[in-house]
Amino acid sequence: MKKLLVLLLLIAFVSPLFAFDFFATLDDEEEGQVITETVKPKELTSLFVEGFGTYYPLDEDEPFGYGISLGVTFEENRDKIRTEVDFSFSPILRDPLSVRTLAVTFFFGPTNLKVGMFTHPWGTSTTLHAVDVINAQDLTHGILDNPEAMKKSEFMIVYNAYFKRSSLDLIIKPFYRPMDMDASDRYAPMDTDNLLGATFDLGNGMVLPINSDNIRVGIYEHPKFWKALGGGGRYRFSIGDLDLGFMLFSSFYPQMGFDIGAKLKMKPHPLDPTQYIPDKVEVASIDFDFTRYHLAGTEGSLLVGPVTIAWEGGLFLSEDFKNEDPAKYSTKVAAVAELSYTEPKTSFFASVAYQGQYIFGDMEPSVDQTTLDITIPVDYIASFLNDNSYSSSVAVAFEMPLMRERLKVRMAATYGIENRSLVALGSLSYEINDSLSVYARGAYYDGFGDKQSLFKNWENNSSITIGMNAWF
Amino acid sequence: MKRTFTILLILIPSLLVAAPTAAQIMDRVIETQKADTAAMDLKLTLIEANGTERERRIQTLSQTIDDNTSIITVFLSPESVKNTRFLSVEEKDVTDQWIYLPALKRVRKISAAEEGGSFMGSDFSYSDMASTTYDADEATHRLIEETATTYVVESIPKTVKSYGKNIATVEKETFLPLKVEFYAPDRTTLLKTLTTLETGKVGSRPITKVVEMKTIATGHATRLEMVQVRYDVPIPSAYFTVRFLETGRL
Repeated sequence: MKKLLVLLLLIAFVSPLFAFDFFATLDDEEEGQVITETVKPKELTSLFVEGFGTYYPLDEDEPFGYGISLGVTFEENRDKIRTEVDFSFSPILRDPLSVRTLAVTFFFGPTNLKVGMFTHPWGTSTTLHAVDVINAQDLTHGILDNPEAMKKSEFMIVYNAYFKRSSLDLIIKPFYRPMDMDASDRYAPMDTDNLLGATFDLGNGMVLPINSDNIRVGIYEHPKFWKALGGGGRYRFSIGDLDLGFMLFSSFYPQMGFDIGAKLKMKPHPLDPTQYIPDKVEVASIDFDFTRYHLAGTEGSLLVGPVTIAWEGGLFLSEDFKNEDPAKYSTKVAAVAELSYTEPKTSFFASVAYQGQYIFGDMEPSVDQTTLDITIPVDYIASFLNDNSYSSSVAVAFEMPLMRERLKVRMAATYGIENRSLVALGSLSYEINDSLSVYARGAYYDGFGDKQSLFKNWENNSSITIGMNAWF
Repeated sequence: MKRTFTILLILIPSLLVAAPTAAQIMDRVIETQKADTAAMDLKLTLIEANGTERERRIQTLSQTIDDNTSIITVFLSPESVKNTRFLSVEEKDVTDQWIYLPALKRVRKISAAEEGGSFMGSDFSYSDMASTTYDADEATHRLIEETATTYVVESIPKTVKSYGKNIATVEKETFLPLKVEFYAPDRTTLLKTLTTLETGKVGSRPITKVVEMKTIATGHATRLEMVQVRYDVPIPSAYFTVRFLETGRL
């Protein structure tokens, strides 16, 4: 609440508030100007209810929910400086205040410097990304149909320079802000109190019970300020209808790593007590770790008639490139290819995308036959106990404005090919008037087959939400 | 011979002030609205058949150099499209277009909008926003009626896209179109009508200040009002760049 008050005071004292306005600087008395109404710099500040919604879980056992979120945005433009504030306040959330943007941009000719809390996008595709890595995601509200809306703002310094047909952006991230995920609530990606489930697959069809009664859980600690320093840059240029970019970036993976101390416990063979057979897996400790990586990537898009071909790809070189530390994520490559189509007559938009990643190194848990220590690579846990080095997914999405943009229909779905998981999102929004719209959104999560996955874990979260947005 | 010469002398002045041809009228219409640069603050009011109104506010800057026109458009309201920016750059008869979508925080290059695409859900198409009449080269023009104050010109485009025929009522004094009827490619079905509700002047230049486009089949109409307009003012070329599209600043 204290933070909210500080922001409200900040808004109250920062005035006047201007929209971007070509005419704000023009002299009203100058000849050659027609004015049919009093022209003032348009106030951009808006207070809005951005989702007074009710949440109907499709699973009867899940509780019915409701919520309200208030948002405030403003932007002040002065000669060389722009100030932006965008935050939301949702009293029912555990962390009710969410600052999406609190930033100042300084403009120096064709360059600018932005400092503050905000997000910075990389990548050229619209649905799935491989190199949009600057900011971590917030998974505490499930999957949204706009990947940008799932991002968490963080303190950054971004320098942009624009040339005739190219541009450069340099980023410094002094702090580390990990991915937001619930540990045990509705949108927990997995049960972090029981990371490996009730049983452990030792291979060869041998599934052992897990004993974690005497587990020691380590202290969760972010990388410290100076150790967390991350940054990088991207250079983009255009040749005709081809846009191409290359980037280098160094930071920590937004998801934590796990160092799991586990041992295989043996028992005498029932028929031959001189022989020992595996009995159970005893998990003694879980410690948290973070992995630094260095990204070398590319992004591009090519316009062919009304179709845009977009691609992203990158090598994520792990600090543990020798694959010696199971608590660190391994080196991987990831790529996305997307075809999208915009119908100029109706603004109908559709896209289909394919995303793949390959993790180098052995992902399979192993047992030291001498010490009986079990090594469980974090990539194995992060892949929801799957040891496939390769994983891929496809995504389709479309948006169709109808009734002169009063009604908007949006659909998006992503299917994980290897783990056979699905999330499908749909929404209908209807603009009652310029200040009020109502919406209905549906989210369906499912996992087919036996393999674990994020969407399989969220099966009970399939829901329908209805609500309204209002702007004042 | 003397008599013939006398008749010629009588005829010459009348030939000099002869009514302009239909093509000349339409060229004058285009010429009247032409400018090297223009800065416009526009209000679009979408009016449904039942009278319900919704308002859109946009600002555009345009610049024409060697017949190549660049346009930057910024959407100010409603909230759902606020800060969307649209750039169109024409170079050697090729038009490149980009859009900046604030929700995605990304600039996307898009294919050039076709003639028939609705502009922001309004009754204006993208081509209507550029011009509602054809010049002498684009269509075959025929003067079908002349009154004391107006010309009525029928224009049949040489390349039929959305419209098969236009009939424009042009004010003699200002060469502003007071009314334009847009017909389907069959040239008989009336699709839309554009009516000038208010005219004015910017310096010595006559302009249409408020116009209304009505779609006949649905009864839906769009009123386009020039809140502010300036012609032939210096506009920095940096406005017509992807940098401006991405940052909203020079």
